[in-house]
Amino acid sequence: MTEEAMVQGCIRRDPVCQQELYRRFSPAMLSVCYRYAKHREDAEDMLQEGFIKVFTQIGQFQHKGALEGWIRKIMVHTCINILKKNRKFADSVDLIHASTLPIREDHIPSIMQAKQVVECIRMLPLGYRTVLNLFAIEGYSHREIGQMLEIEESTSRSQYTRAKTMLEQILIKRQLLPVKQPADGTARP
Amino acid sequence: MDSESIEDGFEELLRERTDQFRMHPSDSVWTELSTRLHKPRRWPYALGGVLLFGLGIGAGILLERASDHGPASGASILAQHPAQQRLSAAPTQPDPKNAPADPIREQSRIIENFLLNGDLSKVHTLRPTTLMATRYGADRADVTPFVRTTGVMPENAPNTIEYIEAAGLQAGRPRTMAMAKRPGSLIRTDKEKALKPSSRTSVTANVLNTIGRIGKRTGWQLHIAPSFSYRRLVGQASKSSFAYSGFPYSANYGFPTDVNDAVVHKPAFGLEIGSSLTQNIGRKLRLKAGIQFNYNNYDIEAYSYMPEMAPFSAARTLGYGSINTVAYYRNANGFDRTWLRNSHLMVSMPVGLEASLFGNRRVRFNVASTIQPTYVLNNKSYLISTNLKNYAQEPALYRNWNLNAGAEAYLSVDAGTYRWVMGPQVRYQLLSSYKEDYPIREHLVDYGFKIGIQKTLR
Repeated sequence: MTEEAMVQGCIRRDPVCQQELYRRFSPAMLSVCYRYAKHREDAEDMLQEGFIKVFTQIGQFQHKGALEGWIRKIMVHTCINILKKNRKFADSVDLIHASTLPIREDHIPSIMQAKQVVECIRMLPLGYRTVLNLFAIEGYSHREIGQMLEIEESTSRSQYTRAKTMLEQILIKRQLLPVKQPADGTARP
Repeated sequence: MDSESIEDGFEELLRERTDQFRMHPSDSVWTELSTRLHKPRRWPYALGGVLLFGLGIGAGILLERASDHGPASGASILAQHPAQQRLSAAPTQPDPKNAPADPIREQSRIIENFLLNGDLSKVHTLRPTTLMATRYGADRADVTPFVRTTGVMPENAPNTIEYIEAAGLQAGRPRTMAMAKRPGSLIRTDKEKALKPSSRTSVTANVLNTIGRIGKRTGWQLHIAPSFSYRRLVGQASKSSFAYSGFPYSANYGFPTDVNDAVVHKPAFGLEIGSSLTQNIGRKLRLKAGIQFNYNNYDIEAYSYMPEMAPFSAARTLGYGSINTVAYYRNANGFDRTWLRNSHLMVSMPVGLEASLFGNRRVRFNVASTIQPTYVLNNKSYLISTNLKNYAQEPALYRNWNLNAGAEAYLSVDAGTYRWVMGPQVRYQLLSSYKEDYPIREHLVDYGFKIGIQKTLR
């Protein structure tokens, strides 16, 4: 089934086309949601809500970009909205003080490197994790992140810097990231 | 999306690794998603139910209003002065020369004197057949109205049955349908007059708008509740001589005065079926609104007897406004003992609150209370006469609109997609089943056990 036929079928609320679209994109989208959620169950809830919006708004897709990118955008916004609605940001951490929180480093299962990286990202405090996901992976600007999370652009920049530093430390400890060599050739711990 | 330049390879590494990562959702995700995408829409059924309810109300109002203009409502016109002025009937006096200016008022005066003072001197001049022929038309053989105040049987009538037949009524049980369906024509309460179609339309529109705004944390419930139906009676026997004297079989001594001492009744099985929507307004509090049908029954002990006149309303003014009806049953001292079934079919729109008191995710204990505006679709009940002696049906005294209060406690048990709900409930009718002209108040009571299913709509 071509992508266009699938989209047209979804616009007609054809169950077969809807299931095909879900089958094609749900693995990737669940991994997106997993980076924002605390538990897998939460990620599946986000996935379900996101696909509800996808099927509801499929008629607005204008074929100007990749369908996956359009779905991914909806999924990210759904994750953010759920986190904001459930007050996860308020309950989790004050971004300014996140750097003082201890990092749990003993729960990463021994699996493929891709998932290890994702698990390392999930180890970050919620605020750091969200900003890092949006900027580094999804490609949003700090201005856009500020609007989505209702924070200042400068706050987004500073939090991303801290998140990146923290994640680098975790990845290096897990040997998922090579140690950076300084210009003078000496090794950096 | 306005992306900024990548500072180093870190972001690229992250993006590369995370894009390689795939997770497969569990099967239940698609199952629930598919259900939500293709579930049958319930709001049209709720909308249809509300529209049906509104149509029923509108039809009832139209029927009530039609009865105000129908000629068969003339039997009640005697009770109202303005209605009497509408009568342009031909003179009914046997002697045109001595015909009084207002024959109806004259005959009513004759009846008063007979009933209050036992004056039989002019009873022979009463001509109920002529009155009825005038009012309803001589050719209206199909109309068999109740004999109102003017349809009095003189004491010297050969026997009751012959007189009634001569008066134009059918032998045996009088057919009441022609009159019974226009109860509102007799006396309309201020409350009923105030209920205009526009107010009902706005209520319906408000209900539809509310249903249309189904959002998250909205629940739907369907239930059935078998019940024991009963009633609470309040009232005293009428002490007026009008009620006690003037009837051949009345006894003025040793007669019970409180209605509860006079009647023997027993509960019977009833049923309630309803559907409702709930909306979370707090963590453990829900607003509830719905529609339900109630069928209420109870039995009263009676004894068959030959037809006799019985008073059913206290006279507003002497001789005017009172209702006498032919009764075929007595409260006591009759022929054959029987049980008369009183039944009410009602439709209500309960509105109230539900609260979840305690429990876990699987089993929770809840309580709820509602106020239920009610419309009586069908009322087949026997009233006891104001002298507590006879039973008869008098639709003119039935109240069509009522108000009930409900309270319940139930357990809700998680069963996957749905939750089972079960528990006891009680429903009490706040207003009397009958209009204020009837001195005895009846409040229906239902004790039931609710069983239903509940589902949360997203």
